Amino acid sequence: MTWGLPIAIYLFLAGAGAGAFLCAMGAEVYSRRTFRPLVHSGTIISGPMVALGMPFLIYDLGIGRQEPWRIFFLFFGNPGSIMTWGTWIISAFVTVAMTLAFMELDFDERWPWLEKRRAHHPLLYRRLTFLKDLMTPIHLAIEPYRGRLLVTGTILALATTVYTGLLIGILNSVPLWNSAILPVLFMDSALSTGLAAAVIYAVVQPIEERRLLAHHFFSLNQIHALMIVVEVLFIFSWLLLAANSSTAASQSIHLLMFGDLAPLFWIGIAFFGIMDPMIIYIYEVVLGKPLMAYGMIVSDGSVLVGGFILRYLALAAAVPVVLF
Amino acid sequence: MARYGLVVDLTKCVGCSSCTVACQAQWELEPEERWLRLEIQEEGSYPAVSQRFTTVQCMHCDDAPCVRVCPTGANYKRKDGLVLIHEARCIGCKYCVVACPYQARVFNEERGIPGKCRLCDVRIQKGVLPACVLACPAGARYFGDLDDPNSEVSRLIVIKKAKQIRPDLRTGPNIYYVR
Repeated sequence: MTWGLPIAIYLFLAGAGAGAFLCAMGAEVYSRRTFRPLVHSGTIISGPMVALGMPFLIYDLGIGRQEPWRIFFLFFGNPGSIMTWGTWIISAFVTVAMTLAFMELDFDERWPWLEKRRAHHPLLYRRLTFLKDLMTPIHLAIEPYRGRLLVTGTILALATTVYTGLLIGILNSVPLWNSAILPVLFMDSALSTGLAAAVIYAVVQPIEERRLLAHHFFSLNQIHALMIVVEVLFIFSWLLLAANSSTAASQSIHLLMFGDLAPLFWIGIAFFGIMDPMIIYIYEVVLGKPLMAYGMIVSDGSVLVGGFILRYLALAAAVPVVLF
Repeated sequence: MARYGLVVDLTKCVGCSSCTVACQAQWELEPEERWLRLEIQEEGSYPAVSQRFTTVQCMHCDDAPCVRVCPTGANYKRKDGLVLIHEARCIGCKYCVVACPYQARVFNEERGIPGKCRLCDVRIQKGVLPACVLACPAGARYFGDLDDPNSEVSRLIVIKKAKQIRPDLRTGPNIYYVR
């Protein structure tokens, strides 16, 4: 396995980060006021999540890890390479998403919380006051450009989710990957894991934020259930088409469903990625009301596990094209 | 301009791996590092069973996937047909290793750079045959210019109907095999 765990982590974080941004944007367009906590958490986590994938990517490099200045060759060495496109897309996306995340850090909103703790944490209070005075002018200066940043960020986030699939999808050396479904599957999985990450981050926030979002758990879960249904259809079509195409692709499918990777496939993707969240969502519909925050953490946490294992297995099940 | 390539007459190959070892000696490779490997396929069913040998190495493709995917431009196609690695530009991302349908590239973990058959660029520059061609005890390997219709390799391709491996992958491989 040439590309293993570090690349799977990187693909997962890039997808989930960009997906969280897209979900936040969807919520913003639908109704910023209703989904305020989701817009907030999605925007805050997306840039850092994608950026967190970078150390894993660099760790996987050979000589680039020992001589990091070589990484600059990535930008202009070969404009035709998908990896070069990815470098451009992700650098631009992280810049835009980090700027928007910074703008989401509303100091005034958190101020009462800090004022109450002034007596207990005088040092923290002084530090944060300093930070607030420092950041507020910058905040005001970029505020007029927020709309443009949102549009640019949305385009770049879409590009990021598709890029993770295209990177391995264009290679005809691995028939399992060389499928038109892969980029859209990765995009759908990115939206689903992004929504899960954003909801978890919102739920673990201070209590008032959690209560605001709790009114919408039900509708959020219905959207999430739809994403998972689409994902099931994509995975099913992907595997069925691959199993009936070339020798190498059908060997990959055999490896996934019955071979060494079968435990990970059935437990990781089928149970954690699909069944566990779906059972919780269906239970909610039967119950007629949403579960509490802990239910959200369980279902969305298992979506994250499933999304990660999907990336890992896509890499692990790579059987090279049969030559003879 | 020349387009260097090989013709391998597999009807003469005895599967001795001399080519692999000669290559390793020429480029000072580790024992498990094979830029040229011997693939063995079993054919038929008992009692009429036979083994078929094929030597696989970098095909020095006309439209090489490794050159196309390389994000830094470290992989390049030379005018004389050789696909080479500009090591000072490589970052070790292994995209080329994954992209090669012939699995011709071996990643050297110690150096952090992939290695592969270079068609003995330093030898042919001096007019010496590649190490694998010279070492083959069966004389099954032929080196030459595929663009020159009068060269030994070009004539072998026509007379012995030498074929490429998986030309349907549309990479334009420049190693031909007589079966």
